[in-house]
Amino acid sequence: MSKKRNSLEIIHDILLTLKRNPTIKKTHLMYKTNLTYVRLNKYLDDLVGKELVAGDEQTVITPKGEQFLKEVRKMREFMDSFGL
Amino acid sequence: MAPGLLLSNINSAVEVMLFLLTFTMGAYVFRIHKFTKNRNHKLLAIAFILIGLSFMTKAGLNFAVNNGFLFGNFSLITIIYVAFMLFGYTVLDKLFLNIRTYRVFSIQIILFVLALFLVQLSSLWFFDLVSFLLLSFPVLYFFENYKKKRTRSSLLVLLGFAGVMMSHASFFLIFVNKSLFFVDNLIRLVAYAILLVHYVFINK
Repeated sequence: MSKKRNSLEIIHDILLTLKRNPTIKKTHLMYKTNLTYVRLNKYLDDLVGKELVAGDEQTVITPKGEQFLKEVRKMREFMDSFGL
Repeated sequence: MAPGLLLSNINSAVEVMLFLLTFTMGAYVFRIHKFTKNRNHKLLAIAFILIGLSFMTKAGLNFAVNNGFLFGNFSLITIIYVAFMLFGYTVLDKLFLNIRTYRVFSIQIILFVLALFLVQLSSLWFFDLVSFLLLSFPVLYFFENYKKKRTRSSLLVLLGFAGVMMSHASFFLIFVNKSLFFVDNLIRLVAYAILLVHYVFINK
């Protein structure tokens, strides 16, 4: 059984999916990131608030979000090294 | 400047550098926590900041003693230094032993208070013993983590924290030979340098 993702991994997955699929609809984003509608919306609201993604039904990653994606990779590696 | 005073000032400068390193790492983990809202990330940040504060207090203590503001070794600042450091290690244990029940955590708090009490009575010996024991749990966790992941960064974290733990162990040897005081400082410096290298590698 695969291990439960932490929130940093989920944020990384959402941003990466949006980067790879710029025209993705929310329903497909939900399937690709393996999140429920409620959880995905919770994360997206947070990311919209931080100006990392934009849009409603068709969500896109912002330039700030792309920059942050690189940052998230570093953060993941850092927390991974501590086993967290 | 007398050699003893020079050495003490160098020691203070090192403590300030260690404060900057641990505080920077704590701030970085806090930044991660801002996005993740993860309890574990918050605890790691708190632990780093507490350890950083203890170094800052120690540097202040050295400076105050060198300049004649304070006399003796067991001043209030020593107690604050020990308290910050032990509390930082206790938070690390709470995190890596995944302690969620306050009944278990309270045992650690009792140990922490006992260490503070004994530091006032005797010397820093009990502080080092408790520090060594408290750090052994995170080090074992990092060892397991390294065995699982086999990455350079997990190895650096393991070596860094194992070094910090060993620097506390080497304090016991001071009873055998006073000159070993330098060994523990050297081990600690190398250990934190490894953590700095780890931080730089990740953020380069």
